[in-house]
Amino acid sequence: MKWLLAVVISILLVARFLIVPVWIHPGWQVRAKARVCSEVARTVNRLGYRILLGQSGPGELTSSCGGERGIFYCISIPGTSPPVSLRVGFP
Amino acid sequence: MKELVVLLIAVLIASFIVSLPSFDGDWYLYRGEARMWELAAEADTLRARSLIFARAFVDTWLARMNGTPCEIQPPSPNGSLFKEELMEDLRAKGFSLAGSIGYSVGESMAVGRSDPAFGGACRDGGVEVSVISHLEVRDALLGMVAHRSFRAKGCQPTSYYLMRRVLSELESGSLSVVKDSFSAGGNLTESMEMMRKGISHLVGAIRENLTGKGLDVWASYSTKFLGDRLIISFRAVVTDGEAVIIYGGKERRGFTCSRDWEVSVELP
Repeated sequence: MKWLLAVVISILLVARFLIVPVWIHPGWQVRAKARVCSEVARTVNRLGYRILLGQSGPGELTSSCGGERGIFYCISIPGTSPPVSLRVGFP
Repeated sequence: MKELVVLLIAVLIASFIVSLPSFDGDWYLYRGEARMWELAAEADTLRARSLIFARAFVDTWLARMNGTPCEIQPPSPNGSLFKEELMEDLRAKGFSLAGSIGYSVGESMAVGRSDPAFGGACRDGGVEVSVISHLEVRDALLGMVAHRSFRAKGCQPTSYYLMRRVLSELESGSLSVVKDSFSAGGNLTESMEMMRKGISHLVGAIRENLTGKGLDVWASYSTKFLGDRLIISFRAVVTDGEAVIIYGGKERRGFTCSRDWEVSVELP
Protein backbone atom coordinates (compact mmCIF):
# COMPACT_ATOMS: atom_id res chain seq x y z
CA MET A 1 0.00 0.00 0.00
CA LYS A 2 2.81 2.38 0.94
CA TRP A 3 4.63 1.63 -2.31
CA LEU A 4 1.47 2.21 -4.32
CA LEU A 5 0.91 5.53 -2.63
CA ALA A 6 4.52 6.50 -3.22
CA VAL A 7 4.28 5.70 -6.95
CA VAL A 8 0.98 7.59 -7.37
CA ILE A 9 2.31 10.64 -5.55
CA SER A 10 5.55 10.55 -7.58
CA ILE A 11 3.66 10.31 -10.87
CA LEU A 12 1.45 13.22 -9.93
CA LEU A 13 4.43 15.32 -8.92
CA VAL A 14 6.45 14.58 -12.06
CA ALA A 15 3.57 14.55 -14.58
CA ARG A 16 2.97 18.28 -14.43
CA PHE A 17 6.58 18.86 -15.57
CA LEU A 18 6.56 16.10 -18.17
CA ILE A 19 3.36 17.38 -19.70
CA VAL A 20 4.78 20.86 -20.26
CA PRO A 21 6.38 20.10 -23.70
CA VAL A 22 2.93 19.15 -24.98
CA TRP A 23 1.66 22.63 -24.08
CA ILE A 24 4.75 24.20 -25.48
CA HIS A 25 4.04 22.63 -28.84
CA PRO A 26 1.55 25.27 -30.17
CA GLY A 27 4.00 27.91 -29.02
CA TRP A 28 6.74 26.26 -31.00
CA GLN A 29 4.43 26.21 -34.01
CA VAL A 30 3.75 29.91 -33.62
CA ARG A 31 7.46 30.68 -33.43
CA ALA A 32 8.02 28.68 -36.61
CA LYS A 33 5.10 30.47 -38.24
CA ALA A 34 6.49 33.85 -37.20
CA ARG A 35 9.80 32.87 -38.73
CA VAL A 36 8.35 31.89 -42.10
CA CYS A 37 6.08 34.97 -42.21
CA SER A 38 9.00 37.30 -41.52
CA GLU A 39 11.16 35.46 -44.03
CA VAL A 40 8.58 35.60 -46.82
CA ALA A 41 7.98 39.34 -46.19
CA ARG A 42 11.70 40.05 -46.13
CA THR A 43 12.23 38.05 -49.33
CA VAL A 44 9.44 39.82 -51.25
CA ASN A 45 10.73 43.24 -50.16
CA ARG A 46 14.34 42.38 -50.95
CA LEU A 47 13.76 40.70 -54.31
CA GLY A 48 11.08 43.09 -55.60
CA TYR A 49 10.87 43.02 -59.41
CA ARG A 50 13.42 40.15 -59.53
CA ILE A 51 10.53 37.81 -58.67
CA LEU A 52 9.35 38.49 -62.24
CA LEU A 53 12.66 37.00 -63.40
CA GLY A 54 12.03 33.80 -61.48
CA GLN A 55 14.21 34.57 -58.45
CA SER A 56 12.85 33.26 -55.17
CA GLY A 57 15.63 33.60 -52.56
CA PRO A 58 15.13 31.08 -49.75
CA GLY A 59 11.56 30.38 -50.87
CA GLU A 60 10.04 28.83 -53.93
CA LEU A 61 7.76 30.21 -56.60
CA THR A 62 4.41 28.53 -57.05
CA SER A 63 1.40 29.24 -59.20
CA SER A 64 -0.99 29.53 -56.23
CA CYS A 65 -1.04 29.60 -52.44
CA GLY A 66 -2.61 26.81 -50.41
CA GLY A 67 -2.89 23.08 -50.71
CA GLU A 68 0.43 22.29 -49.03
CA ARG A 69 0.81 20.85 -45.54
CA GLY A 70 3.16 21.94 -42.82
CA ILE A 71 4.34 25.27 -41.52
CA PHE A 72 4.71 27.73 -44.39
CA TYR A 73 3.46 31.05 -45.63
CA CYS A 74 2.72 32.10 -49.14
CA ILE A 75 2.42 35.61 -50.62
CA SER A 76 0.80 36.11 -54.01
CA ILE A 77 2.13 38.69 -56.47
CA PRO A 78 -0.74 40.46 -58.27
CA GLY A 79 -0.34 41.29 -61.94
CA THR A 80 1.80 38.32 -62.87
CA SER A 81 0.86 36.18 -65.82
CA PRO A 82 0.94 33.23 -65.26
CA PRO A 83 0.19 33.86 -61.56
CA VAL A 84 3.20 33.80 -59.26
CA SER A 85 3.29 33.32 -55.48
CA LEU A 86 6.29 33.13 -53.20
CA ARG A 87 6.18 30.37 -50.62
CA VAL A 88 8.54 29.98 -47.68
CA GLY A 89 8.30 26.85 -45.54
CA PHE A 90 9.81 25.85 -42.23
CA PRO A 91 12.76 23.59 -42.89
CA MET B 1 -2.02 8.45 9.34
CA LYS B 2 -4.05 6.82 6.55
CA GLU B 3 -6.46 9.76 6.50
CA LEU B 4 -3.55 12.15 6.24
CA VAL B 5 -2.10 10.32 3.23
CA VAL B 6 -5.50 10.26 1.49
CA LEU B 7 -5.91 13.96 2.20
CA LEU B 8 -2.43 14.66 0.77
CA ILE B 9 -3.25 12.73 -2.40
CA ALA B 10 -6.56 14.57 -2.70
CA VAL B 11 -4.80 17.93 -2.33
CA LEU B 12 -2.19 16.93 -4.94
CA ILE B 13 -4.84 15.80 -7.43
CA ALA B 14 -6.82 18.97 -6.85
CA SER B 15 -3.77 21.20 -7.31
CA PHE B 16 -2.80 19.26 -10.45
CA ILE B 17 -6.24 19.78 -12.00
CA VAL B 18 -6.48 23.42 -10.94
CA SER B 19 -3.00 24.28 -12.22
CA LEU B 20 -3.62 22.75 -15.66
CA PRO B 21 -3.36 25.61 -18.15
CA SER B 22 -6.51 26.13 -20.15
CA PHE B 23 -5.65 24.51 -23.43
CA ASP B 24 -8.48 26.25 -25.29
CA GLY B 25 -7.39 29.66 -24.07
CA ASP B 26 -3.82 29.03 -25.09
CA TRP B 27 -4.87 27.72 -28.44
CA TYR B 28 -6.77 30.91 -29.26
CA LEU B 29 -3.85 32.96 -28.02
CA TYR B 30 -1.42 31.05 -30.19
CA ARG B 31 -3.79 31.14 -33.14
CA GLY B 32 -4.15 34.89 -32.69
CA GLU B 33 -0.40 35.35 -32.60
CA ALA B 34 0.07 33.24 -35.72
CA ARG B 35 -2.60 35.28 -37.51
CA MET B 36 -0.89 38.45 -36.39
CA TRP B 37 2.33 37.34 -38.09
CA GLU B 38 0.44 36.41 -41.24
CA LEU B 39 -1.32 39.78 -41.23
CA ALA B 40 2.01 41.58 -40.78
CA ALA B 41 3.55 39.66 -43.69
CA GLU B 42 0.63 40.61 -45.94
CA ALA B 43 0.71 44.27 -44.91
CA ASP B 44 4.49 44.69 -44.95
CA THR B 45 4.72 43.46 -48.54
CA LEU B 46 1.98 45.73 -49.96
CA ARG B 47 4.46 48.39 -51.06
CA ALA B 48 6.81 45.97 -52.84
CA ARG B 49 3.91 44.09 -54.41
CA SER B 50 2.29 47.29 -55.72
CA LEU B 51 5.61 48.17 -57.41
CA ILE B 52 6.12 44.68 -58.83
CA PHE B 53 2.57 44.92 -60.20
CA ALA B 54 3.40 48.26 -61.83
CA ARG B 55 6.66 46.96 -63.30
CA ALA B 56 4.94 43.89 -64.74
CA PHE B 57 2.21 46.09 -66.23
CA VAL B 58 4.52 48.67 -67.84
CA ASP B 59 6.99 46.08 -69.13
CA THR B 60 4.25 43.94 -70.65
CA TRP B 61 2.83 47.01 -72.38
CA LEU B 62 6.27 48.05 -73.64
CA ALA B 63 6.97 44.54 -74.94
CA ARG B 64 3.79 44.84 -77.03
CA MET B 65 4.84 48.29 -78.28
CA ASN B 66 8.31 47.16 -79.39
CA GLY B 67 8.68 47.73 -83.15
CA THR B 68 5.51 49.83 -83.44
CA PRO B 69 5.24 53.57 -84.38
CA CYS B 70 5.17 54.44 -80.63
CA GLU B 71 2.33 56.93 -81.03
CA ILE B 72 0.38 55.81 -77.96
CA GLN B 73 0.70 57.41 -74.54
CA PRO B 74 1.72 54.79 -71.94
CA PRO B 75 -1.33 53.77 -69.86
CA SER B 76 -1.38 53.78 -66.05
CA PRO B 77 -1.46 50.49 -64.17
CA ASN B 78 -4.95 49.77 -62.89
CA GLY B 79 -5.13 50.16 -59.10
CA SER B 80 -8.54 48.47 -59.00
CA LEU B 81 -7.10 45.42 -60.73
CA PHE B 82 -4.28 45.27 -58.17
CA LYS B 83 -6.82 45.40 -55.34
CA GLU B 84 -9.07 42.86 -57.00
CA GLU B 85 -6.29 40.30 -57.48
CA LEU B 86 -4.95 40.89 -53.98
CA MET B 87 -8.41 40.59 -52.46
CA GLU B 88 -8.97 37.26 -54.13
CA ASP B 89 -5.85 35.87 -52.48
CA LEU B 90 -6.56 37.50 -49.09
CA ARG B 91 -10.13 36.23 -49.06
CA ALA B 92 -8.85 32.68 -49.39
CA LYS B 93 -6.65 33.31 -46.34
CA GLY B 94 -9.52 34.75 -44.27
CA PHE B 95 -8.44 38.39 -44.57
CA SER B 96 -10.09 41.34 -46.24
CA LEU B 97 -8.69 44.42 -47.93
CA ALA B 98 -9.91 48.02 -47.78
CA GLY B 99 -8.60 51.40 -48.86
CA SER B 100 -7.35 52.85 -52.10
CA ILE B 101 -4.39 52.62 -54.43
CA GLY B 102 -3.71 54.86 -57.41
CA TYR B 103 -1.07 54.84 -60.11
CA SER B 104 0.07 57.57 -62.49
CA VAL B 105 2.46 57.40 -65.40
CA GLY B 106 4.67 60.17 -66.73
CA GLU B 107 8.01 60.98 -68.29
CA SER B 108 11.10 60.41 -66.19
CA MET B 109 14.21 62.56 -65.98
CA ALA B 110 17.77 61.34 -65.62
CA VAL B 111 17.76 62.51 -62.02
CA GLY B 112 16.11 60.72 -59.12
CA ARG B 113 16.15 57.19 -57.92
CA SER B 114 13.92 54.32 -58.87
CA ASP B 115 12.54 52.27 -55.99
CA PRO B 116 14.58 49.03 -55.63
CA ALA B 117 11.39 46.96 -55.62
CA PHE B 118 10.50 48.37 -59.06
CA GLY B 119 14.06 48.11 -60.33
CA GLY B 120 15.20 49.96 -63.40
CA ALA B 121 16.87 53.35 -63.58
CA CYS B 122 15.76 56.91 -64.21
CA ARG B 123 16.67 58.11 -67.70
CA ASP B 124 15.69 61.12 -69.79
CA GLY B 125 12.40 60.38 -71.55
CA GLY B 126 11.82 57.11 -69.72
CA VAL B 127 8.57 55.88 -68.19
CA GLU B 128 8.02 56.88 -64.58
CA VAL B 129 5.33 55.25 -62.45
CA SER B 130 4.12 56.77 -59.19
CA VAL B 131 1.94 55.01 -56.68
CA ILE B 132 0.00 56.47 -53.76
CA SER B 133 -1.72 54.04 -51.48
CA HIS B 134 -3.70 53.87 -48.24
CA LEU B 135 -4.55 50.24 -47.70
CA GLU B 136 -5.55 48.15 -44.74
CA VAL B 137 -5.63 44.41 -44.33
CA ARG B 138 -8.22 43.17 -41.84
CA ASP B 139 -8.79 40.00 -39.92
CA ALA B 140 -12.45 40.34 -39.04
CA LEU B 141 -12.52 37.21 -36.88
CA LEU B 142 -9.84 38.39 -34.46
CA GLY B 143 -10.47 42.10 -34.95
CA MET B 144 -6.96 42.89 -36.15
CA VAL B 145 -6.22 45.63 -38.70
CA ALA B 146 -2.91 46.56 -40.35
CA HIS B 147 -2.78 50.01 -42.02
CA ARG B 148 -0.13 50.85 -44.54
CA SER B 149 0.15 54.20 -46.33
CA PHE B 150 2.93 54.83 -48.78
CA ARG B 151 4.12 56.74 -51.84
CA ALA B 152 6.66 55.25 -54.18
CA LYS B 153 8.19 55.94 -57.58
CA GLY B 154 9.73 53.62 -60.12
CA CYS B 155 11.50 54.35 -63.41
CA GLN B 156 11.27 51.94 -66.31
CA PRO B 157 14.64 52.09 -68.11
CA THR B 158 13.25 52.46 -71.64
CA SER B 159 13.32 55.97 -73.13
CA TYR B 160 9.88 55.52 -74.67
CA TYR B 161 8.79 59.15 -74.33
CA LEU B 162 12.04 60.41 -75.85
CA MET B 163 11.82 57.99 -78.76
CA ARG B 164 8.23 59.01 -79.34
CA ARG B 165 9.24 62.68 -79.33
CA VAL B 166 12.16 62.06 -81.71
CA LEU B 167 9.86 60.39 -84.23
CA SER B 168 7.34 63.22 -83.96
CA GLU B 169 10.13 65.77 -84.49
CA LEU B 170 11.32 63.84 -87.54
CA GLU B 171 7.79 63.65 -88.91
CA SER B 172 7.03 67.33 -88.46
CA GLY B 173 10.57 68.32 -89.50
CA SER B 174 10.31 66.31 -92.73
CA LEU B 175 7.06 68.10 -93.59
CA SER B 176 8.79 71.46 -93.20
CA VAL B 177 11.81 70.34 -95.21
CA VAL B 178 9.61 69.09 -98.07
CA LYS B 179 7.53 72.26 -97.99
CA ASP B 180 10.63 74.50 -98.03
CA SER B 181 12.36 72.45 -100.74
CA PHE B 182 9.45 72.48 -103.16
CA SER B 183 8.42 76.07 -102.59
CA ALA B 184 11.90 77.48 -103.25
CA GLY B 185 11.13 77.78 -106.94
CA GLY B 186 13.79 75.47 -108.37
CA ASN B 187 13.23 72.65 -110.82
CA LEU B 188 12.40 69.12 -109.65
CA THR B 189 16.03 67.96 -109.52
CA GLU B 190 17.07 70.99 -107.51
CA SER B 191 14.12 70.59 -105.15
CA MET B 192 14.89 66.89 -104.63
CA GLU B 193 18.53 67.69 -103.88
CA MET B 194 17.49 70.43 -101.46
CA MET B 195 15.14 67.98 -99.74
CA ARG B 196 17.89 65.33 -99.47
CA LYS B 197 20.21 67.82 -97.82
CA GLY B 198 17.44 69.08 -95.56
CA ILE B 199 16.51 65.60 -94.34
CA SER B 200 20.17 64.71 -93.84
CA HIS B 201 20.66 67.89 -91.80
CA LEU B 202 17.50 67.19 -89.75
CA VAL B 203 18.59 63.65 -88.89
CA GLY B 204 22.11 64.86 -88.08
CA ALA B 205 20.79 67.54 -85.72
CA ILE B 206 18.52 65.05 -83.92
CA ARG B 207 21.39 62.55 -83.63
CA GLU B 208 23.57 65.26 -82.10
CA ASN B 209 20.90 66.04 -79.49
CA LEU B 210 20.73 62.38 -78.57
CA THR B 211 24.47 62.02 -77.93
CA GLY B 212 25.07 60.14 -74.69
CA LYS B 213 21.42 59.14 -74.28
CA GLY B 214 21.80 55.63 -75.66
CA LEU B 215 19.51 56.24 -78.64
CA ASP B 216 20.19 55.93 -82.34
CA VAL B 217 18.13 57.28 -85.24
CA TRP B 218 17.93 56.10 -88.77
CA ALA B 219 15.72 57.61 -91.50
CA SER B 220 15.16 56.99 -95.18
CA TYR B 221 12.71 57.97 -97.87
CA SER B 222 11.62 56.93 -101.32
CA THR B 223 9.72 58.82 -103.99
CA LYS B 224 7.16 57.89 -106.58
CA PHE B 225 5.04 59.83 -109.03
CA LEU B 226 1.30 59.49 -108.97
CA GLY B 227 -0.14 61.55 -111.81
CA ASP B 228 0.87 65.14 -111.19
CA ARG B 229 1.79 64.42 -107.61
CA LEU B 230 5.05 63.36 -106.04
CA ILE B 231 4.62 60.98 -103.12
CA ILE B 232 7.51 60.88 -100.67
CA SER B 233 7.39 57.89 -98.31
CA PHE B 234 9.44 58.28 -95.16
CA ARG B 235 10.55 55.60 -92.75
CA ALA B 236 12.31 56.37 -89.46
CA VAL B 237 13.61 53.95 -86.85
CA VAL B 238 14.75 54.89 -83.36
CA THR B 239 16.53 52.29 -81.26
CA ASP B 240 17.30 52.37 -77.56
CA GLY B 241 20.22 50.08 -76.82
CA GLU B 242 20.00 50.66 -73.07
CA ALA B 243 16.34 49.67 -72.77
CA VAL B 244 15.55 46.71 -70.52
CA ILE B 245 12.17 45.01 -70.54
CA ILE B 246 11.09 42.08 -68.38
CA TYR B 247 8.79 39.86 -70.35
CA GLY B 248 8.04 36.15 -70.11
CA GLY B 249 10.32 35.80 -67.08
CA LYS B 250 13.35 37.10 -68.98
CA GLU B 251 15.18 40.39 -69.27
CA ARG B 252 15.17 41.60 -72.86
CA ARG B 253 17.52 44.36 -73.94
CA GLY B 254 16.83 46.93 -76.65
CA PHE B 255 13.71 48.69 -77.85
CA THR B 256 12.76 49.95 -81.29
CA CYS B 257 10.18 52.40 -82.55
CA SER B 258 9.52 52.43 -86.26
CA ARG B 259 7.27 54.92 -88.02
CA ASP B 260 6.23 55.35 -91.68
CA TRP B 261 4.55 58.39 -93.15
CA GLU B 262 3.98 59.97 -96.53
CA VAL B 263 4.12 63.50 -97.85
CA SER B 264 2.40 64.44 -101.06
CA VAL B 265 3.68 67.29 -103.24
CA GLU B 266 1.67 68.78 -106.08
CA LEU B 267 3.99 69.29 -109.03
CA PRO B 268 3.64 72.42 -111.19
